[in-house]
Amino acid sequence: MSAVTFAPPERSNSALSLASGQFLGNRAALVSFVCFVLITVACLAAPLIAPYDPVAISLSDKLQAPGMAHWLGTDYFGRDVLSRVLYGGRVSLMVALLVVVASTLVGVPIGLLAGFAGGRVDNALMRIMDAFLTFPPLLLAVAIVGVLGPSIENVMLALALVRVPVFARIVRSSTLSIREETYVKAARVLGSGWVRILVTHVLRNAIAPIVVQITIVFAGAIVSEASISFLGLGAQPPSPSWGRDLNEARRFLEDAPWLLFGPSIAILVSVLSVNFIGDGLRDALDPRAWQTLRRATARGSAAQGATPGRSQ
Amino acid sequence: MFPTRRAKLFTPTRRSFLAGAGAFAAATQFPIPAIGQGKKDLVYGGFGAGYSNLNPLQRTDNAAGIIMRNVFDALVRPDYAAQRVVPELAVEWSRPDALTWRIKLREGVKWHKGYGEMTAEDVVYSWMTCLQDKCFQTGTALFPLESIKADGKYVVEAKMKQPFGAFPGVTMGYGGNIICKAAHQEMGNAYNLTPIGTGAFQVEQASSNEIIVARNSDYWNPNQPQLDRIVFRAIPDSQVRLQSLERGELDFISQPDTKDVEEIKSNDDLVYTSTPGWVWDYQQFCLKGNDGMAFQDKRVRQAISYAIDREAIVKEIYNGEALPTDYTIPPGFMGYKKGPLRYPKNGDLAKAKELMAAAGVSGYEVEVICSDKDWLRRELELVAAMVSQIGITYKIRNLDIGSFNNLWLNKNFQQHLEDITIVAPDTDATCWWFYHSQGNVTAGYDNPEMDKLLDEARASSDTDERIGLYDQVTSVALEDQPLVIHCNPNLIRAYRKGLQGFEPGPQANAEWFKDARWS
Repeated sequence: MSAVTFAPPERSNSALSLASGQFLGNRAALVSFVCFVLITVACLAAPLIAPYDPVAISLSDKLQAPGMAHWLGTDYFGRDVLSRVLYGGRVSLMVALLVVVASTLVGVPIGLLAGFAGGRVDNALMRIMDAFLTFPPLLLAVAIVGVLGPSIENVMLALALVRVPVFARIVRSSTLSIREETYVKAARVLGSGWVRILVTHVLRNAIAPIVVQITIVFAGAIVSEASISFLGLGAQPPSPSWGRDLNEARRFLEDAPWLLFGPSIAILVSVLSVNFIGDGLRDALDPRAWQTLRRATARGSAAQGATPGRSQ
Repeated sequence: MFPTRRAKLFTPTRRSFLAGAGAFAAATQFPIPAIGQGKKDLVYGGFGAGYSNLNPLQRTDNAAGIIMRNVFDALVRPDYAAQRVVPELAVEWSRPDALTWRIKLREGVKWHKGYGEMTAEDVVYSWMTCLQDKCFQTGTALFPLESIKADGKYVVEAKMKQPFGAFPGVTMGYGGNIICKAAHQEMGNAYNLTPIGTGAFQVEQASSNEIIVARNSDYWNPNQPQLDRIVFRAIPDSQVRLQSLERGELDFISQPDTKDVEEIKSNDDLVYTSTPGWVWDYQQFCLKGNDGMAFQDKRVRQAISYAIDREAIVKEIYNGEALPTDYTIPPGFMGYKKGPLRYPKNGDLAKAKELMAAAGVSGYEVEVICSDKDWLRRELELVAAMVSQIGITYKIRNLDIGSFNNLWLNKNFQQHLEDITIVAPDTDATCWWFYHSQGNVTAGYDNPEMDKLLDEARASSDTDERIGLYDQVTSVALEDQPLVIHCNPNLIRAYRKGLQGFEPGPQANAEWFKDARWS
């Protein structure tokens, strides 16, 4: 007689493998991921791979069309556009990363606390967040930078501030439903502290919407940084910046239209990539999609005569 | 066949509908320029990001100055061609002794909006306010003022602390624009954006980026103004200004991008003027409160001046519409000589590096502020690249004009790059308030020898003696380099054909439209 043993549940591992399987099966997300990695690596490696110093002026080379010496041409001070795009990407990606990190670190705890505590704490925190949300985020960011003064650090601070309520709202919403789950009630009965419950049970189960929101905020931060720099309030010259370089390229729309290509394509590709990655992650982290995948896997296994979780 | 073709002609297709809608939209959005008889207004596109203050005792930026000069008359006005001042609100002035000036005012000059007649009391009030508030003008014309009193309704008597031969000419600066005592006391801060003046136009409507002025029907000269209304719009982007002019949304623009000069010249609907300006672009070092900075050593300042390729600035930033120079006296002023006088127009890097080495400075970082003029921001980028060759890193901070002026006038900066328009056609106005230790924009420069020379030149009425003294002022300034002067830019204006009576002047803060009219 063969003994039937039950393997311990490997929920997290299987969730991870199901999610990654789902993500890898999404062609658009996969291609975008590769593009984004390439852009990030290229920008990080700018000091190694950029053909020229991005701020070195060479007036004799100004406004050269794309060619072998300068693949994306040169700007009105003879600076290599490709080098500026690569170095400019470091600024944009760094701003986006720090905005995401800062707004997540502030917004998520606020949302967890508001959702879990409820009552007056929830009311107070959410009204503050609502106050932020009443202003268009970009306008609010421009106003904050206007008050603090133009610099890339202030842009980061402003963008992070205007993104905090987004995370707070999403996490609060998840927390409100998760706190009513049986396992949370069980943890309370077992005497777990509220911090432990929040971190171990609530946050872990609210992670999917946070991850998706991170990609949306990341893409938004790239566009917002470019917009603010376009207005002259972000990265200060001569630092390369996609938004500022785009603004300068506008001066030469008729004489040197190629100046637009580098920064605008860089913004387009990086933002699209992050958005597609976000879409892929949203689908991959959706439990309904896992069920479909599980059923498909189960059908496949049954066809081969094997039953998962059982050994003979 | 004919009915078929006819039917086809009138069958609305998606494309024809869109084309029609587009044409309708274009016709309603972009009015066809109404040049010719009947047009009595002017839409002006000015540089700068906005207008914050039109009060002549307080305002400090050129963009608002252009409006202010059409709203306020001054005691005297410039005759650019003759390089002298001629009467405006003051009809006569005399000097009974070396320290006293008696100014006879024009009679019958009315304040806007029913505030009565302008009298000597208004002049006394304006200048006393200026002195008591230590306003922007106290460092210029009014600084040596000991006392002022009204002698009757139309005579003002001013006593100087020291002889000041150039006083009438220098009051052509903002200090000569008289404010209305009754309105100023009544309105308080509201006076700053909707002031009551005596000029040919009165403020009808004001916001931070658009000011509308209307004809002053009580103007003392019955033949002026010719226009009914001027709409001043602040449009900081040079290209947007030009495009708006070309589309017919504007009638007049100042300071287009110099790279577009050929495009303007080739446009048959536009008139282009380029006038050598009483203007210089310059860097200033704040020597007050920056004790540890390397630029406190004059050899470092000289090195920066040697590192500047002034000809490249003229070519790349101004497209040739400027003159390279290294000192403060612009063409046409007493004591002018063709520059640069000491620092080669293409720079001298070897000399610059030698001076840096002599000063024991291998390199440093400094914050350099700039205002919202887009051409100056480009110039600063170019200059930053030039000085980087001698190891100096310019950390650029571009600001709006209000923030810039706040830092500049309070000496709360390390270094700046800006342009400036000389307010009066006397060499005193080109030197005194920049180099004298008591000048309010001197930024900590203090050289007793310079003070002595400037005071002697101010006190003298002898032209030859003054020229000699200003030569010495220039020599000391070129040695000390508290300011590094780059060039004298031309002032470029473009306007729609048909506008007549506008005289392009050499001041960036003065465009008079009293005689302007449409043919």
